Amino acid sequence: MGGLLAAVSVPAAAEVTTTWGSWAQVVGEGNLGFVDPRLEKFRLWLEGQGRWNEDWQHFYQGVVRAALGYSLSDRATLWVGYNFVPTQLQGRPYFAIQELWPGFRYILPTDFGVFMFRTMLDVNFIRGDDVRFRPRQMFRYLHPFEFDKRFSLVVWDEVFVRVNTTEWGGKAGFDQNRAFVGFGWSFTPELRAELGYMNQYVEDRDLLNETDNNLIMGSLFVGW
Amino acid sequence: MDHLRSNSPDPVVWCDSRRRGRCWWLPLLALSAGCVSDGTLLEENAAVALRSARFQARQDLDCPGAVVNVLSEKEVPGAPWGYLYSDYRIRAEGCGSTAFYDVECRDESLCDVKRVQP
Repeated sequence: MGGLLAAVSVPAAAEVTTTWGSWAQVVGEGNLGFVDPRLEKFRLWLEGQGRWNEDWQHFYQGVVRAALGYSLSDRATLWVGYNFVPTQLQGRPYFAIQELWPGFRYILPTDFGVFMFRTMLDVNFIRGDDVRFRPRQMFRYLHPFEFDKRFSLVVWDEVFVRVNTTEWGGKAGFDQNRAFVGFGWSFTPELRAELGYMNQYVEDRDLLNETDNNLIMGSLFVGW
Repeated sequence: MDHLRSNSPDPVVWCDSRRRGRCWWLPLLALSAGCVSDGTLLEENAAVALRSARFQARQDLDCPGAVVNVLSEKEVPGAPWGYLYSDYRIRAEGCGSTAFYDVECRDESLCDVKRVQP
């Protein structure tokens, strides 16, 4: 009986590792009407990010994102984009992820704030040709304060799911969740800054252990 | 009439009301069609845009009786991931002078007025 009991595998309790760091990003976006007025419905999205972890001691990741969009209306935009994500985790060899993605974004202005819905399908080329498909969905809410409408509350959440199992990208299942709460300041209609706290909760490749990243996140948004 | 008895497979029916669940996408389509309409925000902000332009024009033209009218209007996104703005091209006239304004309103209380060339 003892042997039978010993043979039953009991999964180890999941470990959650907590870390602190920060992300900074600059996002620029506008239509291509400045190139040719006939291109006014086409949009360009350029983005750069820097990411620090290990209690702000280590720059571990950058993101360069470029995308071309087509405005179905001023509220709905279809996108296709490319990300380059150079990564250097502490004590591990450098690698760079490349991602292609189609996406859709919808902006819904209401009397009590602006909602944004963004759907993307990351096609991750992590190493070699073992391609991982990872849809991600963001819900975002921006609420201007009555006392100064340039100042706003910003809340968003984005969830990522791994559709398929890959050698470098891990098992299919939940991948990560990013939740943000912070404040925004509109300098002009075309320039806004945001600062806040982001929690990034990430599953490991075997869906056994999680990392809880506590991040200060700063953003600068530039439109044209 | 042979063609009515053709053995070809049934045509694809995207929404067959006799089959439960086949029409699930119709409400989504209706919702998205309504959502891409830009009308409401422009209508809501038009009054404050005209008021803002009139106030500015009366100063610029030194003409308390200046009148304004909207030449064109459209929604424009501002900084990414943020607000939509209603953008109006407005013409002001009074006391023998004319001025043109580009008025961007985020809502009924926040507008940016710029005098522009015609």
